Amino acid sequence: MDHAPIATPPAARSRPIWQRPVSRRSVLATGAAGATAAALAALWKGNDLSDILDRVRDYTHGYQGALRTPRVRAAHLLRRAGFGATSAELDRYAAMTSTMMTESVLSYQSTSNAALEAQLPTLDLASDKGPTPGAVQAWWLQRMVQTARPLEEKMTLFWHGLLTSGLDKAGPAQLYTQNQLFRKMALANFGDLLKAVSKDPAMMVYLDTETNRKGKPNENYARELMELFTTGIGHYTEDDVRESARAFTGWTLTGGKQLRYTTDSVFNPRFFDSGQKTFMGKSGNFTGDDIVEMLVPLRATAERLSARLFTFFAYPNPEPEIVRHLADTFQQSHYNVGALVREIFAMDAFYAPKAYRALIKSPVELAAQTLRATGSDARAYGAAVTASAAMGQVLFYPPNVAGWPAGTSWINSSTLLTRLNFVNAATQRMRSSSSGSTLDQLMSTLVDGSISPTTKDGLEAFTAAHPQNQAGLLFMVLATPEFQLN
Amino acid sequence: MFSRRDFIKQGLIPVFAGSAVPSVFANGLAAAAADSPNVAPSDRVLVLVQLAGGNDGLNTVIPFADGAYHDARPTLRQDQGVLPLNSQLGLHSNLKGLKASFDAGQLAVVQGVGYPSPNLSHFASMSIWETANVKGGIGDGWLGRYLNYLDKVGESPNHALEGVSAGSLVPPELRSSTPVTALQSLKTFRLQPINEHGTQVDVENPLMKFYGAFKGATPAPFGALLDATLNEALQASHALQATDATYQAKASYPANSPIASSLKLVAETIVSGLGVRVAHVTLGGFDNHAREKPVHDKLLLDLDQALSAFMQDLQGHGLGDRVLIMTWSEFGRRVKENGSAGTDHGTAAPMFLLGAPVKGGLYGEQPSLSALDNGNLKFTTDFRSVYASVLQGYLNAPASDLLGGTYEMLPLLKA
Repeated sequence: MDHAPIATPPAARSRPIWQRPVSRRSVLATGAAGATAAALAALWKGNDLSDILDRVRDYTHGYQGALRTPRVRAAHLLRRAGFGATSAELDRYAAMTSTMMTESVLSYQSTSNAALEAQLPTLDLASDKGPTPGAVQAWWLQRMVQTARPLEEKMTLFWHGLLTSGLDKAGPAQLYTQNQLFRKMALANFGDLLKAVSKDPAMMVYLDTETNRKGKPNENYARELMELFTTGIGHYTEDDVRESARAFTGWTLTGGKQLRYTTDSVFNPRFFDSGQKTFMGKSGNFTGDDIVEMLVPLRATAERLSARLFTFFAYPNPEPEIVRHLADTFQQSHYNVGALVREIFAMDAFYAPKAYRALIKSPVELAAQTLRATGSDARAYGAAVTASAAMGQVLFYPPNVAGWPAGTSWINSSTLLTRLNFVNAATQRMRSSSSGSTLDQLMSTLVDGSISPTTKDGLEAFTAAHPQNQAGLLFMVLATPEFQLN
Repeated sequence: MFSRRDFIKQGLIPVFAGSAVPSVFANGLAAAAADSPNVAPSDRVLVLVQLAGGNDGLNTVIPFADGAYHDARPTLRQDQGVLPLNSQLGLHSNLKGLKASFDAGQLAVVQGVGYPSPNLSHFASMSIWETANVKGGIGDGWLGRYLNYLDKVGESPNHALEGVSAGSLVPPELRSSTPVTALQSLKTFRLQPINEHGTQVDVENPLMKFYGAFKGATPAPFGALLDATLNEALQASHALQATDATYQAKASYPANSPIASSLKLVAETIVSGLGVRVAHVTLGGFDNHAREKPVHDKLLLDLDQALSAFMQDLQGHGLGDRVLIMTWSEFGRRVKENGSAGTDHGTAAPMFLLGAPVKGGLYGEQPSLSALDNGNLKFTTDFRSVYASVLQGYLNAPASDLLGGTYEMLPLLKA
């Protein structure tokens, strides 16, 4: 009964898939109706009339049509483009058109983040070793929870998962510096970002460009730049790896500190291999920037980045038409990431039923959204960082250079128990004065008021049995399967 | 007989009542205590140790007598303290425990293991090893297919602890439709009740209803996954709580060593008699493109000490005969070191099989250091041959069905 097929009217075939309207009637008339009939038949046998009526209510007013409601569309966008929303934010966005919502999310640079900056702890960036890993991790998680510019943090998280570097090799101050680079260039030109990342100290340590010298090439960065950051496997040869590694020579770390604590890089011509290189059929005295400029315009790069961003924001395995359309947009914009993100939010596919709850909250998304719901003090961020690790995601410590596998790999028996226990601990930590919402308010803000009737009944029963237990009620809402999804 | 998936589908086993220990758990310990020399296949455990990042095989099993090795490794060569296995090859000086196992006939070293048309991408090559599918590395994990097979023939213990991995993620080689468990600690593997003025309120039943109802909704993306996972988690945590086995390590595991902690957790799971059949642990950090020596030396030391403690612990519990340990890595390193005192991605490398079930010795052929392919070793033994030998010879499973092909059997195991 899961994943009932969503039918598209045959008459609409000529339009691209993401522009086709999907009426509730057409859905009910086909796939869902079959499932409904089967479910109802099963229930009739049990003679449970109230349950049947609940199911009917669910099928006609439930998930399928949820994204037709302005408030749910706002909640969907703010979950994907950020880390969830408060009731007031939902009210504000629900009054906007989709275009206005998108522009509001994207134009974050005109929103002051002074309140957040004033709240953040001061990181020790002056000493030789800089801040501890835990301090930088908690600092970033606090940003996600308290930022007034959610898309900025969300894109920073995206870049961290794509252009990976990790604490297993790089130092915390280096990762802080890289994190600020991602934040600054969150929606920038992709080529500019790649050129900057190629010279970024954390990256230079993580993928060994800092040891890549004339006459002593090190292939690590060149390979991953192509395999993971741009074209993907199958679009380059082992010779391209060897030759482009030579082009990335010349950059070293400076500043006299121990390697993993150094946050400045410099070009030293003595280390640069200025000989001819042959890369993807062209020859010249290429630099690393030249290699980036050859990789970024490739169609494979555009399609790979488009699919990756769409998967991050909308749903996995986008249709080929969607990838083609987004790759066109990206190339026509001269590789502008902001234009690509804007187009993703503008597509009907972003608000299609297929996109609804189609992503599993990553551990840091779950942690940030939970802390936004419970309220948080300074100690909560460190605890949430530790819990995220047990849920499978350590900030600044991806499992390997490919980043987090994401998707269904977030859910296994261990991580699911840890998620529920984390939410439990976070709600227990709440001060009683910070609660006080009714069940309807909690459901509306946290799960779009769109949950299964059985769960709604269960929550109502909990409220009746435990009228004073606000923390327990909030736990029950945050522990629903609906809240595990984004 | 019901398969486990039928049980889960029909909601028949979410809870093991009270202290009633299902027989599958009880007989695990009994069989263990007997420490029979002829261990039934159903009592055998395979422990995979993944050396992630590409282990430098030439600096693990060292061809110390070959001049080409010393030429290729001007700064990285190991010439002090190599532990000789014969006149040509020796173990890295930090592998003292493995050397003792070799001398005791409990370590098999398979040389030059790889596969045709090697892929130098970490992830493509990992997928190939994990799926045993050299064409694209897609499909279920090779051990996931083994667990499916157990389910099919009714030999499955019917709970998600038959496949365990230490850590927060389930590794791809264990993936299939058969549920397995990622474990971080046996003590914390339970759903905490909520607190109400100092009283504990159990939330298992309402949550199971919520997850079951969501699975039944239309549409419910990931509904089946979430519902099945919650059921598996509660079932496994009840199983854990139902065994009152109080595990005491019978070896001293090194402190501050993630691989030692992982192997200790696996030992605890095995000793507790939970019916584990395959376990997976990972030691990462082998992608040493620069300044390899200190990092690699330390990794091998950690590996050796953790494996030694694990073996000693199992033997102390009378379980040594029941456990086979196998190491693997997605590839070895380039023969010639690079200019950063490191090594780039390579191809063939040795595998270790360790434990009492092993017929110790050197297997296969050491690849030539002069007849290279683009600077890389030419493999001499297909990794699927090793898998087949373990599946058929140790786990008593139909190797050619599970691997989709027939591979040479190596006599790695005692009869």
